[in-house]
Amino acid sequence: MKSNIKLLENDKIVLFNDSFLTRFGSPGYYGVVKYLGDKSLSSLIEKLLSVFWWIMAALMVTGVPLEILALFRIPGEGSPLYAVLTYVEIPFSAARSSAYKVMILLQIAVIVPVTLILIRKLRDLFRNFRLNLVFRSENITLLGQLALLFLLLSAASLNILSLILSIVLLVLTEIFKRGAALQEENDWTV
Amino acid sequence: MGIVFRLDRMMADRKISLKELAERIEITNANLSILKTGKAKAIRMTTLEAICRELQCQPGDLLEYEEE
Repeated sequence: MKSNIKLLENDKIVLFNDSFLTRFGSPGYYGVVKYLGDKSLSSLIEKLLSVFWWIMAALMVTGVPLEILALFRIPGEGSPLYAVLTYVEIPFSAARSSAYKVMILLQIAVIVPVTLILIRKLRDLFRNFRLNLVFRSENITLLGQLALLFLLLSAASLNILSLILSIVLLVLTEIFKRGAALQEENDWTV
Repeated sequence: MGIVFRLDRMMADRKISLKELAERIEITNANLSILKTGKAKAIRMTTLEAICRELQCQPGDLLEYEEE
């Protein structure tokens, strides 16, 4: 196995080892990562998102009931529930006001499904990139939906980063619309 | 209709098949079929030049404008 970092003749630094390049592809030049198609960065991200979706789903299936439980019940010290809530660092909110509880429940109702759908949509987008389908109408739809989901997420979690991401995705959607029009023209040019 | 590509007429006049013309101008049958059926959105100068060369005609013989 060669070293992970080495200098080439033209002084370009190689950040990936040989096995990484064999798996994820480098068309004739070390350090150049393939972004689209099989064995590309998109392919890797698609797989990671698939795994991430299952992890998030499992976390939410177990975490959401615990969070709701903590909202309405103060477990006795030493009880199994107390131990679990303390271990996963869920705050005991049963003593809080009803308005606070409603707000938390609303947040859970929005954030949980939106996060899961968002990961799925992102995975679909990267699957299309892996299949070399870039400027296509389905990607425009996916990007639009992602922008909307990030907007919902930013509203629910009051997160400015999600809002910025949503705006960036809206701009990307417009760019992809133009790209798709050019792609269609190119496809029908003989 | 707009611009109509009269490739079928020219091919019939020259008694040349789609397959033969496609081979001569070095494009695929599928692409030539797109041209013939009028589905193409644009034609490259090189393709038009090759068709004119093989069919011994002018671009004006192939392209026609029809009122909508």
